[in-house]
Amino acid sequence: MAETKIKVIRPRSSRLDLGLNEIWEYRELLYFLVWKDVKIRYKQSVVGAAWAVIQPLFTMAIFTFLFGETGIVNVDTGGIPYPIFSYTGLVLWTYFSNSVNHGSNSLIANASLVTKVYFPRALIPLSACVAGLLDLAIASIILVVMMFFFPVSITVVIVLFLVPVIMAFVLAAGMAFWLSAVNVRYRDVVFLVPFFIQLLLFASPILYATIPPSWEWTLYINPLAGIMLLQRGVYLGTVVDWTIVGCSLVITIVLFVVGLYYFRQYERDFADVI
Amino acid sequence: MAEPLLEIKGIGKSYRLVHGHAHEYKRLSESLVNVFTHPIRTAKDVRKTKERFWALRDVNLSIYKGEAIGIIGANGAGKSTLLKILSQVTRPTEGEVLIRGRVGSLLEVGTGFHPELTGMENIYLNGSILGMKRTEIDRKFDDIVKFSEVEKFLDTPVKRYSSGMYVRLAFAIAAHLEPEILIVDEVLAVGDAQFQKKCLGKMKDVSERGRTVLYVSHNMKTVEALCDRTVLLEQGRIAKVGPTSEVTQYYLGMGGGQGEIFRITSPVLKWVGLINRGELNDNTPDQDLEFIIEMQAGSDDLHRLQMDLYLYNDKDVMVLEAREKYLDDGFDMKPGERIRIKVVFKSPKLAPGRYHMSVKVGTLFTYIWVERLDACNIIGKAYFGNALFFENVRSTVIPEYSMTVDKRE
Repeated sequence: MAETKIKVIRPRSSRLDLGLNEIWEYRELLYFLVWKDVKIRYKQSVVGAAWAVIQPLFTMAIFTFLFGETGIVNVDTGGIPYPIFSYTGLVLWTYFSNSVNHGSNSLIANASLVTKVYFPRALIPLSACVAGLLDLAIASIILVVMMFFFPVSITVVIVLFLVPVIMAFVLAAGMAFWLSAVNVRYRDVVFLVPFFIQLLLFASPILYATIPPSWEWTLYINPLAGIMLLQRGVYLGTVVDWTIVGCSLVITIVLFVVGLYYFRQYERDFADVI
Repeated sequence: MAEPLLEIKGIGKSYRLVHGHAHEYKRLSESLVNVFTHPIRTAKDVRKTKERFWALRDVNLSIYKGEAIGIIGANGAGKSTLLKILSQVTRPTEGEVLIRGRVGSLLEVGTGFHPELTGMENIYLNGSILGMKRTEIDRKFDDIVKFSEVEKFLDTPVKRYSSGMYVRLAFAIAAHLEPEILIVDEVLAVGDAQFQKKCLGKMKDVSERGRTVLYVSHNMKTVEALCDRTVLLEQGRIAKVGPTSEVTQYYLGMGGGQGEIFRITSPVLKWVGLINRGELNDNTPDQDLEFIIEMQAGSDDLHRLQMDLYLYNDKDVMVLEAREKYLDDGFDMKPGERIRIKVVFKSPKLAPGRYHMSVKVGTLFTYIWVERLDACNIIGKAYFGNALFFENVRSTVIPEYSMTVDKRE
């Protein structure tokens, strides 16, 4: 035998190892898991791709009715038409919400895989977050189409459109790692997650632009706030508060690392508990 | 001698027991409420948690290149736990394992199969889950299809497959894995006799080409046919290692495989149990053989469950089977619901002896197998009237018969 790689199975590794190398090694499996998710969703749904658009579009319609120019309460958007103002944020929020929801449920949903074969478990919640990107892409195309119909100016910064997406992805993945691992032990977490994400929709600057100064500190501790500001900055050219974005970036990375680390700590106990 | 491919050093695995039950998942709300409402009791529970049950302990074994190793033992002896540790599905509590090579494990056929996907799509998905590279699957695709005998149905979703086709496709994919070490857990228990033979042949082929095979089974015949060396596990420890025929004979000699009324837990069902043990004492030839299986659902809604039941004699030959189709579309269970299923074999006319059974409960895609349950003891006095005589019965069934002088010339 040429080179023999020795693998050692031990009770628990104490090293701080996030296993990113191994995830990279198994990238083909990640691809197939994502491919399966996407394929099945499209096979089982009548509307198929339209579903990706319906969700943010309907949410936009409702909030335009509530907060638009002729709505019940007029929200100051700095002159941007309310539909496109809210849709810009809702597109990304829908992605985040679906990814975290599916991700936190993913280990339980794939219990048969977890108890029968070995591969880095992190691929399971991760694939849920990657699969959602397709819907996000479709919904974003609608966003770009809308930009031609509404009187908004498109600036060159739009080339940076991937930056808020990457941040949202990293944040969603971190949350999904952590919540899916907790969910294996405590099954009722699944009922808390949608509620918590719903709260985030209102706690983040998605449906409004300004908040009372006494509440401004929440923008610094809510990682979604910076991502949403950036998203709007990229598409609508609004002014971005870089301190908030910086805080969001730091919190996002910390949550990702902590989430994945927590996940790794319990990874090999999943099969015993699930 | 060369370095062993697999070195198992003092492996042990324990589970925490809470109130005498294996650790189950909890509800966060319950845990929080308990801490506040019964702080003392909760603290006591935490201490009780320290109680441990060792599913496997002090297992030492070296396995060399090209060996085929059989692993046998009663239910709960730790066979599956050992395989799960070697496949890295679960981690050991103590000890370590050194592996020099790629491990492919088959703890179940069709892991990750999705009913909505077509046969072709599932080949790629399942192959990739089992650890094959995409290019490798491309290369072996035709062989897999040929082996599985489902050429015509490649574009059909596997939910429309018969269970035979499903199993064939699943095994075909697994059979084309080419790891240095192949771990197999009784996948041969499914499929028809001809296909089982084909699978066994394929595994023998694999081991003859210098690969290492670890095979867990309850079927002594297949172990003897395939394995050079066999390990007998008993209550989590190695009871005997040696040439296969020696170990299997020792095992059968000590009354191996005698089960008990079982109760097992699984992700699908909270538990499954055999309520009555069929005893046919001093029977009349047309007495019915009745079994009642009780099961309780876990926290999920279960739909269209099916149950198969197989009865084997002490030579591991299947003598009776009750198959799913008698339950039509299967039965549904609500979370926590407990149901009993009665299976009656009408005057089976079995030969006297001990019988054990296997029960399969679940849907087509996730099911549990419970095996070697001590099912019944048939004392056949009534058939012969002479106790001395039935010691020599060699047939599996004894219909009513007569023997008279018919003609004399």
